[in-house]
Amino acid sequence: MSAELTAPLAPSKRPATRVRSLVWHLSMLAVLAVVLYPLLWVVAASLKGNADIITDTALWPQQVTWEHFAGAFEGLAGIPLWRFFWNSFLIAALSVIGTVASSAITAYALARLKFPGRTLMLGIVIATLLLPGQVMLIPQYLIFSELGLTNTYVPLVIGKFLALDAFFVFLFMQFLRGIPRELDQAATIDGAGHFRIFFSILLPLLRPAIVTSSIFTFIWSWNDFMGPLIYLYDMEKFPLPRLLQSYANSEGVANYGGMMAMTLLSLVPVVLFFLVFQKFLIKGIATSGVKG
Amino acid sequence: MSASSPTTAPSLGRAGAADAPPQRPSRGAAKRRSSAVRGGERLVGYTFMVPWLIGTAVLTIGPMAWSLYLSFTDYHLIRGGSWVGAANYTAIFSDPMFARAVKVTVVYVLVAVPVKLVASLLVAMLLSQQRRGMGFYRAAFYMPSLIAMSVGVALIWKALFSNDGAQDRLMSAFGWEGGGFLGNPSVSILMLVLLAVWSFGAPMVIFLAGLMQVPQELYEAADVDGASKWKKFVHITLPMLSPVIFFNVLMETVGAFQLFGPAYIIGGEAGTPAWSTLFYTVRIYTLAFTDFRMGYASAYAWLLVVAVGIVTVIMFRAARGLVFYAGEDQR
Amino acid sequence: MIRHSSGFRRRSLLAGASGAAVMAAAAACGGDGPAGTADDPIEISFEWWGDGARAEITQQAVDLFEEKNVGVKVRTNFADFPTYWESMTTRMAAKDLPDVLNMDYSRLLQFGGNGLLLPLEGVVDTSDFIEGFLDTGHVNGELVAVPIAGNTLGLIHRDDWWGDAGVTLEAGYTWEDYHRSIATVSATLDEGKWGGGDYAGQYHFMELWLRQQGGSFYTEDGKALNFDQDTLVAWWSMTQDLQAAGDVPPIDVSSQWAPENGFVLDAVGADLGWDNFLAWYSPTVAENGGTLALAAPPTLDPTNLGLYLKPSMQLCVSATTKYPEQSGKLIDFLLTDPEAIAILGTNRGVPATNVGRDNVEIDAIAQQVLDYEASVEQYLTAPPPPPPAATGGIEVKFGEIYEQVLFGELAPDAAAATFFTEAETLLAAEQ
Repeated sequence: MSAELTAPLAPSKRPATRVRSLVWHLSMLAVLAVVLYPLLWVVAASLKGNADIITDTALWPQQVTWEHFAGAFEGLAGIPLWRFFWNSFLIAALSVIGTVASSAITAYALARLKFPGRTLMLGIVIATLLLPGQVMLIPQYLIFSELGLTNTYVPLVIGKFLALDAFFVFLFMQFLRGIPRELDQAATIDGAGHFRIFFSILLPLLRPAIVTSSIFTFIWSWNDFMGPLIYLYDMEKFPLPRLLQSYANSEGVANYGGMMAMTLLSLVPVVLFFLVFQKFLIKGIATSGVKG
Repeated sequence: MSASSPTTAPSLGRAGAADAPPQRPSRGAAKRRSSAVRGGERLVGYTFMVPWLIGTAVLTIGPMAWSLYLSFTDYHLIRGGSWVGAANYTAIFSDPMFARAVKVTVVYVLVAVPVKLVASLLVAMLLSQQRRGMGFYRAAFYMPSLIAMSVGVALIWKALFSNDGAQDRLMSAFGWEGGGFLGNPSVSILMLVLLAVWSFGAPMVIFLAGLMQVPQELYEAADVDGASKWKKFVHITLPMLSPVIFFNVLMETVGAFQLFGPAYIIGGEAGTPAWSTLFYTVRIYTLAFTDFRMGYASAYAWLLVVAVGIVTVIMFRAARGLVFYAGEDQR
Repeated sequence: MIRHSSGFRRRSLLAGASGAAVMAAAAACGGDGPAGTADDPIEISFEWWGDGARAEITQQAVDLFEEKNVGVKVRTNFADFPTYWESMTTRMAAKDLPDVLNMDYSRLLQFGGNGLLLPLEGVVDTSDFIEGFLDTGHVNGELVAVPIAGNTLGLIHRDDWWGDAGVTLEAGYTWEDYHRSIATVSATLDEGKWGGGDYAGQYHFMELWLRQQGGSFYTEDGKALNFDQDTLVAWWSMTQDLQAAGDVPPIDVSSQWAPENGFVLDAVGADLGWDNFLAWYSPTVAENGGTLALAAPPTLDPTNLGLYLKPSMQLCVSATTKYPEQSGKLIDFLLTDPEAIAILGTNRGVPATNVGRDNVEIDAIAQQVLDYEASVEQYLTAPPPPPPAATGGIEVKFGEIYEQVLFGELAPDAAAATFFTEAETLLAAEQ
């Protein structure tokens, strides 16, 4: 579909068309400006003096100050900001590894192999797409608490290693369906076992799915708030969302600019990820119906 | 269910296959397979399913059964608890905060989901034309949906909707006297609705993909018949898009029922101001993890499951008559 | 691993200095204590709530403790009040409390009643506390908390604004007098500033009002509320006229202040409050060119102000600590070591021990608080029993539901009924 969109615009024929095109672009840009206003505002806010951040709606600070960023890098409670970035990164990286590995093999089994109970399992995977997670939350907490695993990252990532993110199992299944079965059947005839088919034939073909699910897992993990809220209590272990929440509850009111700078910094990795991988993301979401 | 929700996906998934490198020609399907191979397949299948089986048993199905049991106890995290029969469920219906949480959540679902989807369909249609710079617009509109549910954006939202903040200033210019939405219980929910609408990019991209699949010939034929734009939209676009619409409505609705992060950051446990942002999941969280009343909270959670289940079933029923599947291609 | 929680400019210097001292001491005596040596130190954890300034001086005192107790390392952590309690309740559930922790009186029963706190008799030196202070540290007849400092309620007000408006408070002034004064002061102020705050949303203030009538908030056994719905309706209607006249900040404005405060934001001229909060408000008010003063609260009965001496903060030891002896030592050190007291100053209030009072440097603000406490000493009566475990939740509900009244979502009688339902549920859940 990208081919259609990047197709060169036919040389404009009449001035009327050109005017219409200009009007169209201008109106789209106007809508875009409204949509992106909050993000532009936070960039400006992080450069303004503390006194007028809320009330100043302009996107250009009257006087640029960098002190908020210096303050933001100091972090909270003596723990520097990079530490929280590292925590977020660690959780996200573990989540990515777990999700990709477990979702890929689960999807392979469900999409390609025949075994009793497969249909039931597929049904459960789909049902969990719609199941409100809140209903498992309390018992899961009790389990992890009983095992002494609260205040560790285990509860935050274990589900990812166990293919419990149904979205990604689904995404891999969709990609697998796009790969002709003849391919693995041919390999079967060549005497390849399922492990070999999966690892040496299908896995390389699944690269787009791997990249897409990695990016989504990373971003979702980066944004996740409820898990860290419930399971972590040591500030040293907080990922960025918990830091932002704590900061807003303590320093934030007195130092609004610091909070906005910190907020902005916390969003930067996601935006960068997006800029680098946007083609994969948009294709991935379109292919699998994964919501953002 | 399996027949309909992936419907968009398989057809789209096929498009995705274009990414695969050219395949060598098939050597002919090996239709008959020995029972040994089949037995091996079964073993491999179960082996590959082991992580999921463990996870589902220990972290999904087990906990569901456990929380159902807990919902019939007065289990308190510190004090423990005992069986109380249906007492939690009867208590919930005289709990003023339950009524409020239901009201807030239902209003949110009923307003946010349609507005978000209409906005995303509208923009998707604008972006499905062939013009220069479409990739840029698509990416720019999509981006907010990646961060909309983060704590950071919720904090930005609080600032924008404070007294004298951007929204207050803008609306005051038009004679608004209600101050910032953040402090005004009659409109504070709009902050969360707007946040949802702001993340319209995700369903938009799915709509876009769906729109690309609509055969152009249909429109061309309609043009020949002299059909108006509106007629084409109602008679071609909507029916052809109906599986995608259904998918988006379903996922957005189910998601909206479970909104937590932004609601918690913006309204806190008390759903300030005046319980006007007391979302259902926030109430569950507070009951379970602040008040430690885990039995009671489990009853809350199960009512959510039942409600979402009923809504899902109704949607699937309704979809039967409304969703049009072009060239049914389910295997 | 030790984390010094204060990342301030001076920190590394301090850490370096104390590290060197520990090494020197270790080299000198070889260190062969019963538990923990310089080579193989034991580690205890200590957590409190507060801001960066408090963290800095606390860390200095802890560094000194480590220096004087070779072989004991203290891992410190702090957070602001709400975050601190969020964390502590989670950790309570996980039975993973820090060895030494900061306690709030309203939470004492919640923690102590569940057996999570170590009885401190014989663990902590209790000989030096000022008369009456230890009374509030008992749960089920056992001492589980010792006070760092005490406080009592008072009327904090902007001396400058009230003086300019020509308003003075005569001893024994009534609530009506107070309301009239607020209105008078408000009339002299610019927009966005008010003579006083709406106080009816805080259960502590209602408790004061009930005590002035000889009542109490909870029954003696802590199992029920000790007043009826009509009383609550009356309390929640106290500031109705002030609200209607715009003499106190409207709720849509004040609800956006948290976690800051009307004094700090230069918006409010008077409010009931804990006297030691003066230390928090005064510096900012002074920056804004104002001065704060303390007066006795308004009363229904000039002979009964309803006041009692409450521990402003307490220290406790977790029941699961592996090192009760060292934990006790740390508490003793913080409360009775002259050097530590000099470092800690009056940041947490005026110390609750004799040696503390003798060694602390009293600054002007602390002196103001001490003077106030001396002035109301004759009115201090016996404290109520520790509030029930559900108090934390009830306190929150009290404010939340009063907010409904202010926003016009609930009439006072409907709100009172709602509060009773909620409070009774919470009390029952904690029985």
